[in-house]
Amino acid sequence: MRIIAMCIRNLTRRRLRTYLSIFGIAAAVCIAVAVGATTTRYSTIMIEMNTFFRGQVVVVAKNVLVIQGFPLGGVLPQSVTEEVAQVDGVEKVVPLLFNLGFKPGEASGLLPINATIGLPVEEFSMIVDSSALRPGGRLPLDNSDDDVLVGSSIADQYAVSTGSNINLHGRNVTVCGIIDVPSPLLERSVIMSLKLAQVIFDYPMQTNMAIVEPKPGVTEEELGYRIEKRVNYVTALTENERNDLTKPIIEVVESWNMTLQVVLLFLMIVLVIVVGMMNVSERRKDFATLNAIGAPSIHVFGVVILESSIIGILGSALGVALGSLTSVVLAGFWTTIPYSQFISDILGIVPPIYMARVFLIGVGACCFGGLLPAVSAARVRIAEVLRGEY
Amino acid sequence: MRIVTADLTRLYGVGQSQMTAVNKANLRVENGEFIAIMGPSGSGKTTLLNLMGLNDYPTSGKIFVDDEDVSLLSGNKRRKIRLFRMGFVFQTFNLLPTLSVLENVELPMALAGRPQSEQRKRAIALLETVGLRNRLHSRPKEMSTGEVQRVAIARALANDPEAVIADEPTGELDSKTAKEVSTLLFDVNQKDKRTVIVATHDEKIVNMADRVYSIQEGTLAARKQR
Repeated sequence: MRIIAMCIRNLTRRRLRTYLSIFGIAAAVCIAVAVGATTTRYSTIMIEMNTFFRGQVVVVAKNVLVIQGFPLGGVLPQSVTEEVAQVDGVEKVVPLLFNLGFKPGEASGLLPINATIGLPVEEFSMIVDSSALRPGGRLPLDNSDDDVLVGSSIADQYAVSTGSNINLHGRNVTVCGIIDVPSPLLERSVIMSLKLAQVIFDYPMQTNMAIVEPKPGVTEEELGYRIEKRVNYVTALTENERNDLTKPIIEVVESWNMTLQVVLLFLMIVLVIVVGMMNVSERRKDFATLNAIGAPSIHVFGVVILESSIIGILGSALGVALGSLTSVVLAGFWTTIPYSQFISDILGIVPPIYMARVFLIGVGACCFGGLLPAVSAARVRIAEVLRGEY
Repeated sequence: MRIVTADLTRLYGVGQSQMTAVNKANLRVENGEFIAIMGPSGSGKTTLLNLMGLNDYPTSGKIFVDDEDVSLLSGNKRRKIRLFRMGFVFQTFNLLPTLSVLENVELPMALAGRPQSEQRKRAIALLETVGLRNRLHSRPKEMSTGEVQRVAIARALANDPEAVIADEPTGELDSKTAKEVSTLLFDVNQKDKRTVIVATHDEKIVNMADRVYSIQEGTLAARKQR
């Protein structure tokens, strides 16, 4: 305890420098957390999109931008369902209308704001089942024209509950259930019957994708080839092809994230080394005195490392807190969803395990940065210091 | 503690710029003696004390502590001798500024691994001896130079050393305070029978010493024997 108290007093003796060091570390950790959490969320959404339709072939219009099986725009006639169904090896075809709600020019936005999914009522289990709904909710009825399911994030944002009437693009619909699953995509989705989606989004007898289940023994690749051969205006994507389309995007995002984190880590280490060396050079006499009165080198080394660690612990803790808040602000900024809604889900945006990892890396970097000053301090000898003085 | 040096030499620098700080110094300090070393600034007093206090390695020659050759002992063994058997008083006091007076005196005992209760008890007793019982929790910067030097003497005595080595302990003090500090060092020698080696310009200290050496451009010579 005494050594910790001594270190804290040494740090508070040069208060401004210590505070600036802590803020420097905090700034680096804050950026690392904010950028890391945002890109991780982005990647998670993209990866999650591919957890739907596993082992199935996704049919979309030709030359349409596809992210993990979901097309951004594009139109197919609803009759494509019948055409694809006739292909040899097809077990089942489900037409689906997927709308990310991008306005023209917004498709490059970092995160989709809302998604709307329309599919035949009897096929809802392909996306969500009744166990994923908040108590009191139910799946849309077969004969209902205006039942919709709403994601929990949208419901919380607009104070919507089961039974509420809402207006979607000029049409009044009834919320029959709130989807409550830890899925960034479904939390921001409105799911309805295909018929209702076609009316609301003005896709008369049209759709923009179809999910095709192969018969047992037929591979996705084989089926995709047959579909494209038979229906020449579509692209049939297997799971591997869908992954291949988005993998480079995710890799680029993650490599930028990694590069940024490495640069920040390097800057943190440099900052700690510079501040540590300044402290050591100013306290050469103290370290030399410790050595002269018989303190082991490891004691002097430990004092400097502990001081760097204290800066690291305080800076990283502050950085994680600020970074988490910044992630919330960024999430709100990119999605126009109120910040308050993200704050309640802050641990969803920046998972505790990620916070702990960045915190430990921050502290580790500071300890590492403290090594050089610590070695330098442990080597100071009274004879050199006194010779310099007299 | 008996300290003997044999042809002790310390050179600094290399080639043309090499200078001799201590040149073949032969010195014998018997157990319980009070030795004063005099000499102008830059004559090699501090270097000689650093060598005898095992804070520096000689370029050549030997140092014996109680007949054991310690000239080339490992750093850790030298450290243990400094910690348990020697006490140091510096001209510029060298107290740790972030520690209180009490903590500064406790520090050598903490480094020696003594129990905390014992550290506290002994530190208070030592500070009482040097007349600073009422300043236990003051910081060095809140005290006068005379008081700080008395704390430094208390710190030097913390681990009950056999020898105290003081480098111009009154160099920064006014005459009244210098007299008090000189008397303290004399008491350390007379009452506790500790070996005391002092580098000084101070005539009061010189008059108290059993033997006096002078050092000029690194060369040591005996000056007075009581």
